[in-house]
Amino acid sequence: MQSFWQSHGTKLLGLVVALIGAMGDVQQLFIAYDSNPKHVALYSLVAALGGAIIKRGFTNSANNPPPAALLVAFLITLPLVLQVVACSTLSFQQQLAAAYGTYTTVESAADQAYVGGSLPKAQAQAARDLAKQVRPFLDAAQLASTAGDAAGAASDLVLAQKALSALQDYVNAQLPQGKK
Amino acid sequence: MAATLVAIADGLALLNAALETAATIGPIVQKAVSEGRTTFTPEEWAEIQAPADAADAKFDSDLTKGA
Repeated sequence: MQSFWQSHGTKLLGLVVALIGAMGDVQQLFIAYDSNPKHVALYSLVAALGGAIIKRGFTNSANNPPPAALLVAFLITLPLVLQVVACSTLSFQQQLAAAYGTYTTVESAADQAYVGGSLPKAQAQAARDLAKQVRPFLDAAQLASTAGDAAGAASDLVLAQKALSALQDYVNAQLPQGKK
Repeated sequence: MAATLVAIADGLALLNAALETAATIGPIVQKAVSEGRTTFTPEEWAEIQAPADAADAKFDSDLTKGA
């Protein structure tokens, strides 16, 4: 007969790591992008929501996905949520800087999922190809903004964010917990 | 046990990537704000774009190595 820890130790350990990571991630991004104390409660709610989603994934799934897969999904989603919140308080160039940060995190997550074996080669290549479509819009927005072309920069940033959202959706759908 | 350690290592690597990005861009944004600026200098933009450049290069390298 297996003990409780032999049966559930892996899941519990993964959950603890994911929750600690989620909380640390939120706090670091909060400190990095936003110093308005009014937003502390909102970011805490985001962290709590993320924890609840992770916990739900562990308790409701018939085939419990590995902790890393859940963490990947959460880390991909979190920066996008924070970026939406940040857009209401940041200048255009600050929003663009945050978009670069989101791009980097999403691409790194896809890369890590590939290296870790959660994302097959063909899907990883497709994710990289999608990323290649996002980056030119970000760079074009930066160049236009620096040149004083506010309308062009705003248009490029909107396109970059749409492409970035498509990249996030694709990577999430390819991960084990995204496949039904 | 080995699978658990691999999963934890993957998770920590991801956290590290997210935190490195925040640690790079965050201080640049804070410095500009502290100086009353809402825009960035060309040098600051280069620093902001550097993590994205590194992520692009690493992903390409990993895909090539895995071929």
